[in-house]
Amino acid sequence: MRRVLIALAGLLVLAPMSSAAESPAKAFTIADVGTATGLVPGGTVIRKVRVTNPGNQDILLTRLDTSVGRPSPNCPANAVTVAPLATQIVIARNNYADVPLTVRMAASAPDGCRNLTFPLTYSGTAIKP
Amino acid sequence: MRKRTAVIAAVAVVAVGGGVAYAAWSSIGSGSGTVTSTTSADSVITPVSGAGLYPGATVDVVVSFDNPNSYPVKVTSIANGSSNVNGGCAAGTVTTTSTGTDFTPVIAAGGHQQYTLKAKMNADAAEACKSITFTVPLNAQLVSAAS
Repeated sequence: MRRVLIALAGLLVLAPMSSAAESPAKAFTIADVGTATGLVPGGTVIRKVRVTNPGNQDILLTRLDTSVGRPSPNCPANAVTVAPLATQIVIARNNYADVPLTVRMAASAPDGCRNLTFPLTYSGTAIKP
Repeated sequence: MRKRTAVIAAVAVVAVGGGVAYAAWSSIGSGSGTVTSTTSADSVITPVSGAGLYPGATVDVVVSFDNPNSYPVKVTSIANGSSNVNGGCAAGTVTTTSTGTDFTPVIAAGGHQQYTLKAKMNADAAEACKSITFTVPLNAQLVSAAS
């Protein structure tokens, strides 16, 4: 009897691994929606991004971080910051969701930060809802 | 003894199976974008009122700052001013000073705001300085007051 139980347990452990290998989660994409302009010292603007889920399963977006590039040596690296994802969001399969990100320019940003376009690099993580 | 073995095996299956499913379904995403800062426009200072100067006297002078920007600004300093030459009245006959460092309130986007300065005429001002209008170039520093 004990031998039967152990064999059964082995089969059950293997079952989820086999299923996951058949349906690997696809990477999702993050891209700008429209333009985000008018950033001034001490102010904020909303950078709306579209998170697209190309997979056949719903995903739960749990993290979305943004790194800000430095378009000019006269503008400090920390002059502009983007807040991380505030609320986790479910994105349906083969669908997308628009996510607002808050971009802030430091009040101390010097004149060298005027009229610049800051490159943003997005990275995120999602899990099965 | 047989019953106890069966329970332990079942618990182990649930725990291991759940862990594998979670890891397999995580995914990552990436992308790139931009955000743009705006430029700034200089404010213009215009005289509003100020009269009654005579040698040695100090009077209030009211000036108005405009804000052509799409965001609020605040004045952080107004440099001391000195009058231009005017006919026989020498340059520097009238000087202006700001009344302090409290330049409130902020100037709204597209708005304007008045501030009061002190203007003083030199005690040895010439006769040619009677009944004339003095031009005093002013320079000020303003910064964003956005929040």
